[in-house]
Amino acid sequence: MIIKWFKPVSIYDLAFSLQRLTGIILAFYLCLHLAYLSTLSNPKLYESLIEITVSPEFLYLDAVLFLAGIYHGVNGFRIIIHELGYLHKHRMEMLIFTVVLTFLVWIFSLYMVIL
Amino acid sequence: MIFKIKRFDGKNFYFQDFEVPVKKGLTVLDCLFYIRDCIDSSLSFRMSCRMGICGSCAVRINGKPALACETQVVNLKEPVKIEPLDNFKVLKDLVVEFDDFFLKHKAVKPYIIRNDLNYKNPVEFIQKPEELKKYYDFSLCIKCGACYSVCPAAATNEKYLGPAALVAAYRFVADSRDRGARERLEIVMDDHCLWRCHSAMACSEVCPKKIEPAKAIQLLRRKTVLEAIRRLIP
Repeated sequence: MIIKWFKPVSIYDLAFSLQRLTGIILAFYLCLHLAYLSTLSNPKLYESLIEITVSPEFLYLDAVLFLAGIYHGVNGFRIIIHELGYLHKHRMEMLIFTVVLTFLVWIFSLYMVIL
Repeated sequence: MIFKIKRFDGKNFYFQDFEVPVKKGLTVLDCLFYIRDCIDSSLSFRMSCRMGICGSCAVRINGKPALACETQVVNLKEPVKIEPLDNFKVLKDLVVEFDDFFLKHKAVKPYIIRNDLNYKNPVEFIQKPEELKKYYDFSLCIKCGACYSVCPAAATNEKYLGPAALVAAYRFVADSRDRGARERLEIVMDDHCLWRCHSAMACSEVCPKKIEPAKAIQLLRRKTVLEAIRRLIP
C-alpha cells in the first residue's frame, strides 16, 4: 500500500513523494552515521572508514545527500506554512520557490565543499 | 476518438477500446452514453444530474479524477483513458462502492447542532455575510470522491476519514449558527482523522469545485489546537 505514496497525479504529489523519499534517504543516512560514530572506540577502524568517505567517488554521493537534505528541509518549511493555513492559493508559486531555493542552496553548498 | 475504458466483470480487470465520433461540445459522459447505447450495453457507470452538481459521475480521465459530465472531450489527449476512482472498491466497470465514504462523512455529524431548537415556534438563526463567508466555499462540496481517490493518507489508512469528510467537519465548525463544534472536534482529533493528513495537496488539485479541501483541513487543525489549549486552561 505504501507504494501509493509514489503515485503522482499532480506536481504536488510529486513534491510529497520526494519528501517521503528524501526522508527515507536521510533516515538511512542517520543510521549509517550513527554506525560510523559507534566505531570511535576503535580508532583504526574509524580511520579506515573515514578514508572511504573522503574518497572522490564518495563525494558524489555526498552531493546527492546534500540535495536530499536541502530539499527535505526547504520543502518542509513550505508544508509548515501551508499547514498553518496560509498561502494555499499561491501553492504553485510556493512550490516553484521551493525548487529554486533548493537548487540555489545546493549549488552554494557544493561550491563551499569544493572550496 | 478512441476511448480506453477499464472494465471489471466481478473477477478480472481489463481495458477495452471503443471508437466514438466526437465533436465540439461533447462531454466524456456523453461519450459514455454513446458507448453504452450504441456499442456495448453492458458498460456500467454512475451518473445523475449531468451538470456538475450531484458528483456521481466522477471517474479517472487520463489518470486524473474529474467529473465526466464537465469534461469536454476535445480538450483531451487521445486515446482517452477512463478508469474508476482509486481508493474505492470497484463494483463494476466505472462504478465504485461509496458506502464507506458516506459513513465517514456521516461520522463528522455534517449538520447544524443546536440544543435550543423549537419546532413548534421556530426562530430564524441570524447570520451576517462575513460569517457566511468563513465557510461558504467549503459548503460547495458535492461529495464526488475525487479528493478521497487521490489522497495518499486515505490510500494507506482505511480508517482515515478523508478530505471530503474533514471539509464537512470544518464547514460546520466554522458555521456561526452551529453549537456542536466541541463534539465534532472531539471526533476529528482521533488517531485516524485530522492529523493523518500529510499535506500532499492532491485533494485541492483535483477538486472539481475548487474548494481547497487541503486548506479546510489545516484550518480545522488550527481550531483543534485552539480547542486543545482551551481544555488545558481550567
